[in-house]
Amino acid sequence: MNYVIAAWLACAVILALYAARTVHRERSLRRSLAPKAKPLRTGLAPEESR
Amino acid sequence: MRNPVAPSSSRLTRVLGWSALATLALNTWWGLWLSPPDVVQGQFVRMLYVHPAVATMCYAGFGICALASIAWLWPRLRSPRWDRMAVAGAEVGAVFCLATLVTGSIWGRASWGVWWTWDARLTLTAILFALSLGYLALRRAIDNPHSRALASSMVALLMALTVVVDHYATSWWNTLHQGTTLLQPDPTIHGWQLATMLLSFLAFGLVFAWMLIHRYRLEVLEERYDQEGFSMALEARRAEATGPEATAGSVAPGEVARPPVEVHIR
Amino acid sequence: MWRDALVVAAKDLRIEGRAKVALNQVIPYSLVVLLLFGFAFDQDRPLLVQAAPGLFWLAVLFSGLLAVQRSFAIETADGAVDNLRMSALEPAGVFLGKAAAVALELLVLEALLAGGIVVLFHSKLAGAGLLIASALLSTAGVAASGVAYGALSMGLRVRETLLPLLLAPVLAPVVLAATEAWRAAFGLSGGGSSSEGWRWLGLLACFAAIYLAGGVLSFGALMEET
Repeated sequence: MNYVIAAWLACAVILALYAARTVHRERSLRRSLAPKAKPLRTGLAPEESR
Repeated sequence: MRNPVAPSSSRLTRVLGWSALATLALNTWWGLWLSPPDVVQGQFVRMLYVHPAVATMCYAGFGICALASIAWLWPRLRSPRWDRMAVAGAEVGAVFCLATLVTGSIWGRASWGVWWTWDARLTLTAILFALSLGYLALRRAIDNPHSRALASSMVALLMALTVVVDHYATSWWNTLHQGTTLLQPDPTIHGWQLATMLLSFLAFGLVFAWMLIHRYRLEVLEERYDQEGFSMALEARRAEATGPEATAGSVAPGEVARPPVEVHIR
Repeated sequence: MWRDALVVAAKDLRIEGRAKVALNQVIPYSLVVLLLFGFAFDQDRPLLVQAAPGLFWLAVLFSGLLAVQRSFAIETADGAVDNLRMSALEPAGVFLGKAAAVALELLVLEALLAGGIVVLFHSKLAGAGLLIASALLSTAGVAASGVAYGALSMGLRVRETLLPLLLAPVLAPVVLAATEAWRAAFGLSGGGSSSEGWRWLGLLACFAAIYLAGGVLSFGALMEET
């Protein structure tokens, strides 16, 4: 059963770390681009210009 | 006043994200508590509620990368959107690939006592992971967006074809050595076990979609930063340099008035 | 296209003939690799005999990486690649020519390495037909994929580390199939006879076909961009 927990935990950690990293990178880029931030539109990528 | 730092979520990803977390929680509850241990595999059957779903999302990610690369290469379809989708699929696929290898390895250790078996599917997944690392490294090495898209879409296509060859190679190789196929789906799975496994596909599917969209957005932001960030930094420097003079209002004696330097990037 | 290929192949081989890099550096390297395998396996004779085909193809893979790097090093030195682009040579021909030159160098290397495993690992060469056929197809695959990926990484600063990272997993099925073919030829695979080995040829042929076609189709665009 320990192995089961280990597997689930490992999976969760890997996915959580990647999610956190992606969101963190997004946020810091948005901060750098802040003066030119366009209003949010719904869709796949709101700030996509083409 | 508009918030200068827009949040990275939109209604779509908020809905996706919360439902992903909710179904994951449900999957964990069902998987680790509610569903009964298997007659044959005992507690280890609970691996079924993580590993197959994660593996499928891995293949989905790489599949998206391959299809998006083809779309980018297709003369009339070419658009930066496909290239962004390709890298998103590849990177998210690679993350799920790592999770697949780790959960598969732990499952192997639990069931068979060894951290690795040269099982056809596990070996193929390992090759897939290595290929994806190469693809991502190639992308990082090219700065020009068009060259990068061209090179990586070709590499993705070639790798996709190679994977077909790999599939046959590893399965022939494995049957040659009569390796144990670790991950045969249990044919008698039903009831709670089947329901939970289906739930796991939904849960990880939602997680996958959420990650894909965010990675796509990240790519858009990176592109914008590459284009604008440099000229913005330059403007900031210029503002620093000309600021004190502007507030002073006049040229100090002995200095020559200089017009602001016009620099055209690109 | 074929004439251009011959021109390029002749050019590459002539450069090799004068500089003798493959002869003086890559081939000795491959033989030393065999020696190192002997150390790694602790001169365990029965084990080495069993492992010889695989070790052979590993040595070919490592040497192949060097040969491909060299093939593009001669282009990027002194901006020769611009001359290549501005010449009237058809890109597909350039690809085939470079791949042919690399393949030829590798075939010479393989012949010597075959002698190497006979001497060092006490291999008994057998099943000549299968041996030669699989060697030809494998070499074609290694050369084609090497030149294709080499072109991609040619202009990049990190090409020395990127090319191995790209190429090694791609060549995994070649190492696998070629090893199995040679094991069958040597009679090492137990159960199946030499007939087992022939189906690996199909795999090797597919791989070579994919990369020959892929290279021919994409080399033009790659040369423009990189």
